[in-house]
Amino acid sequence: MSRSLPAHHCALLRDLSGEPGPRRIADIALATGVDQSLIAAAVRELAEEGLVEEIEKPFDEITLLDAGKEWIASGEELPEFRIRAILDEEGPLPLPEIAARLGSSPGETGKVLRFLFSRKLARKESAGGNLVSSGGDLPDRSAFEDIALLRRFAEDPDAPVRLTAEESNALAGALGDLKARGFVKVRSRMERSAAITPEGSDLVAGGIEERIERNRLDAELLADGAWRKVTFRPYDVTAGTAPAYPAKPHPLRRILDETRRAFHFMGFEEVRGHYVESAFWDFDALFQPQDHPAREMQDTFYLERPARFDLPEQKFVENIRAVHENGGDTGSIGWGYTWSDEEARRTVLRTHTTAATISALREDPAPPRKVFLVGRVFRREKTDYKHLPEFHQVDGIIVDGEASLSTLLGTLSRFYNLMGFEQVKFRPAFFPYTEPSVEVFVRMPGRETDWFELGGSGVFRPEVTRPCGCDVPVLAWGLGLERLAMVRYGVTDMRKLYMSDFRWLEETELCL
Amino acid sequence: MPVVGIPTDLLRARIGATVSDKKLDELLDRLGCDVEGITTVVRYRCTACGALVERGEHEELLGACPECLTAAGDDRRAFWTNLGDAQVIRMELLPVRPDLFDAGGLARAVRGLLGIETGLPVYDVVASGIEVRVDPAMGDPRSYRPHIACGVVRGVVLDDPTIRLVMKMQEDLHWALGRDRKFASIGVYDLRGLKSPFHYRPVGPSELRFVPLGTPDARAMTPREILEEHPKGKSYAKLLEKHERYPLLIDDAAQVLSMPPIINSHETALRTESTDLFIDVTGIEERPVMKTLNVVATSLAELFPGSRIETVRVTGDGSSRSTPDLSPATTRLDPAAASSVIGVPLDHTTVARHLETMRFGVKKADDHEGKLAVAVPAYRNDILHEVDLIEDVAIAIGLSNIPRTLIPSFTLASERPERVAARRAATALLGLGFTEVMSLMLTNPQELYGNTRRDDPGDSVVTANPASREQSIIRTGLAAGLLRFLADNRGGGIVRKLFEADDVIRIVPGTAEPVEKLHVAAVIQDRTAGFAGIRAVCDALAREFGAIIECDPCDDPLFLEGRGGRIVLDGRDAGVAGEVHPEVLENFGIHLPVTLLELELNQT
Repeated sequence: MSRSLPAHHCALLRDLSGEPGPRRIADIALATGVDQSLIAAAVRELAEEGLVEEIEKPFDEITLLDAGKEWIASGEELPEFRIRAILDEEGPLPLPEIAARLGSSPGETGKVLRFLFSRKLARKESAGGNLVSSGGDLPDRSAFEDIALLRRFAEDPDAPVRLTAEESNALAGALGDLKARGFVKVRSRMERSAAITPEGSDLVAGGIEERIERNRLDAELLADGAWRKVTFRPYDVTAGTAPAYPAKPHPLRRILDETRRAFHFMGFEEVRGHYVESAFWDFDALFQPQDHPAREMQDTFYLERPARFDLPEQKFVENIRAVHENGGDTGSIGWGYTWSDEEARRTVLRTHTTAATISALREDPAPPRKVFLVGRVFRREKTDYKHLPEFHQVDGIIVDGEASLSTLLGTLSRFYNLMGFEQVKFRPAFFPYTEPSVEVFVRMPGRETDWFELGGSGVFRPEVTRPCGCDVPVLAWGLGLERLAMVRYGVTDMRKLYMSDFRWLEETELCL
Repeated sequence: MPVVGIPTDLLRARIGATVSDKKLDELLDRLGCDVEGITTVVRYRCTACGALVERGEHEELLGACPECLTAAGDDRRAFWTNLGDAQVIRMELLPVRPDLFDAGGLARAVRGLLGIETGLPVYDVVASGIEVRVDPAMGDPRSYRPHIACGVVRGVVLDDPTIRLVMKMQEDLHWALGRDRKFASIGVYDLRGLKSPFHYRPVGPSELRFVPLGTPDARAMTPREILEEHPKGKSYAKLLEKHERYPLLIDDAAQVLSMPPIINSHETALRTESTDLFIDVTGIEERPVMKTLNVVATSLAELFPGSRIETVRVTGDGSSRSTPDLSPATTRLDPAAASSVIGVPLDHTTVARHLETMRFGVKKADDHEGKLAVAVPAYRNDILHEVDLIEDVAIAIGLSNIPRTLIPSFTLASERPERVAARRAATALLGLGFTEVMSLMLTNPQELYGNTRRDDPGDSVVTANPASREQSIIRTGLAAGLLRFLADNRGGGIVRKLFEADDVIRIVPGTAEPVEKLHVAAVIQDRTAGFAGIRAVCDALAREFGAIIECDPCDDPLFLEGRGGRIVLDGRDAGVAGEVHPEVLENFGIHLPVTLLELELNQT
């Protein structure tokens, strides 16, 4: 069965198989009509398979320079021969006189003297220093090796003359003279030839055929097996390409999901809350006095539609009224003001997700419980680089006889550890519904100077838990997640999270 | 939160110990103060009214005096007399601890933490012999500001910077306890030459004239003129807008002290030669009035060592009492409760020591169960319950010294079904090459309805006090948000596939009940985007939820006529899909064809 080879391999093998000895690459290129560089590549590739032998022979390439070309073109004698002629005609002369006759300067003429002497055309008089002809017949010019070499350029002054290493050695003196006169340039080169090996001859005898070249594989090539005869042109695999991005979840969504996962890891039950709450659930149930600044119109979105919600069952409402007014049965003195149902009925966009955890507590206050939710909350803010009117919080509670400040700090540290923050710090804080209250700070690896405050937490006050029917400590926290996302992604403008640049969505690395 | 600058030299002097900057920072942080850092401020005096202002070292001089509003003119350096500079520690005010707003009160707390002086601070209080008579008309709705409490601090030594500190303390307390002077407003006066009894009574708008503080020309003005012309009068006029007559504090020789809660008189203002101070706090709620006086009186006593607090007799309508009343409230604390809430074993002695560190007085209760009887300083406004004491014990221990532990009890994690549904939809759409975007829930009717050619069915949640016109209602769908995203990202690529899966809210017609629904919406922007492509995505999504949908023609104006469909699942409307109407694309400024789907995700 004949073997299919790239076209230039076939051309090379066929060319060589007709010749017994080595052939120069250039000659093969000429004979086959294939580009010389492809032939050279084919020689190398087939030599590796042992089908041809690559032969390298060093040689010198002599190129005629401009000065040499001018001299040949002028048909003039070399100046040393013209000096001899002058001396033969006029007898001994001093150098300046000779220079004058030549129409040259004494300096220029002086440079020729060594050739005059080496060719034994003249000599210097021992006294007076005049130049005097050596006399006798002039030898044939061709007897001088350098002139003989120059004459080899006569036919085509642009064609280099090749000298084998041996020839070059023998002509070293002549070449030196010609180089000194600026007539020629000599380059050492390598002559590459190739000869077919017996294996190569066998292959050709067995039959070879050209393989087809293609850019890409296609279904037809696969269908009839024609791919076997096809060479796929190699690509530059080191070159870069246009970037490709996977479709991804939103970077903030990834933080929200990581947060949920972290609380799931710790055994928390996920609940859902309502975006629209009554002030009762958002504030009153959390022992936030009705005159508290956070409840003012400038901080909270109150609603025009729906404008009022019904309050929960009477007994619960009365308990809440009592803790606000005088502490009720919780051991507290309360805030000492007259609590208004009407104020509690007003509707708000929830200002924290604690409204949801507290109603989960009211529904089932029996320990042990761990409850959390991730959700949006609303604050009446104008949008700028560090404020948005809505953002996400993770709110959680732990209802447990063994719940304490110590376990609160432990749980929150563990949460932030799970989110990739090794360093977590706490500071006392003040919220109306927790006591003790604690603010949480984290530090980014590599940004050792900055502590970022990410949220508030604490132990629910008895004024909050008792009316819900709960008698064990309840830990609670509300932690901002946009800030956490900003720290993690190095985002400095909070708006970027919602009014996003598509490129940012594409480029932000996956983290979950 | 407002920021206060406490002079570090003064603070160290009152602490009475050498405390490094770093240590100071650490101690204040431990108390819960948000310390911004230590900086240098320069003090200037207004050449028009004499008010002092502090500016940061590198801050420009003010163009006008914040007190009298006189313009500083072209040569600000000439207008503001430079009184030299001082190092201050800048920190955010802790609204719940007004007793930590000034160097005196802070030093009192720090001395406790350092163990220099612990337990209940004792102030020896004697009667001043001064009486304030309250006119019953102060309780009348037409001149309502019924509560007043007064006190005297004798033996103070003032200079310009300390006068400035006293003013600043009042300003900060107005913010924290007074709710911007509404509940309580403070006046501090030079007592010299004033004649008891003082009278707290209403005054007609033009009944008398006095020279208010902070006018460059020391002009006598009527109450009405003050409210209409004086800078402070204009700022606080709203507090008296329902009044026919205004509160006035005046001595028995007809020297006006102040017109609360607006302005004090020029004649009774503090001067560097003043040694005895009279304090009044007036307001509409009793508790803040009394508490504020306690804070002011004790902080001044701390600020001026060697000074003495004296009481004032406040009489009216048959009642009489002495203020300030600095007797501590007594409450009980069970050390076992402290151990359990903090989660650290604490015995009696330890809890008592920590409480004393926080400046509470402690003795063993004589009743039962080994509880501690805790005396709460009169300047503390935040002790409503045993747990408030426990927090102070935790602060005394230091949060960094409390071990971080985990709850041992076993609980099961669970996930909300709507989160599962949202993830399922997201997984399907991500697999189809859609990138997730998130947008705000707050939007406006023009964006939600006008731009999408839809009618407003009146089922959106509407805010009563929007912060901006762009954000006044809650979205009832996700389509507009996706179109806005495409419009905001016009540059760059042509082919865009985006989705959002999140909550929307609609009010059930005829009720006040908002219903939250999980929606998913997706858009394809492409030169060749067409109905079949988006319909296929609907089918794919439904398939991943194990559902089979049908698509009926619909007349949703969001879509080109005849190119929009109603997605029907089990005979119920589940959403829409189609080719977005070119007019909608124009409204948003989108220059390429877009197809869109929006489905309600049933969580079953």
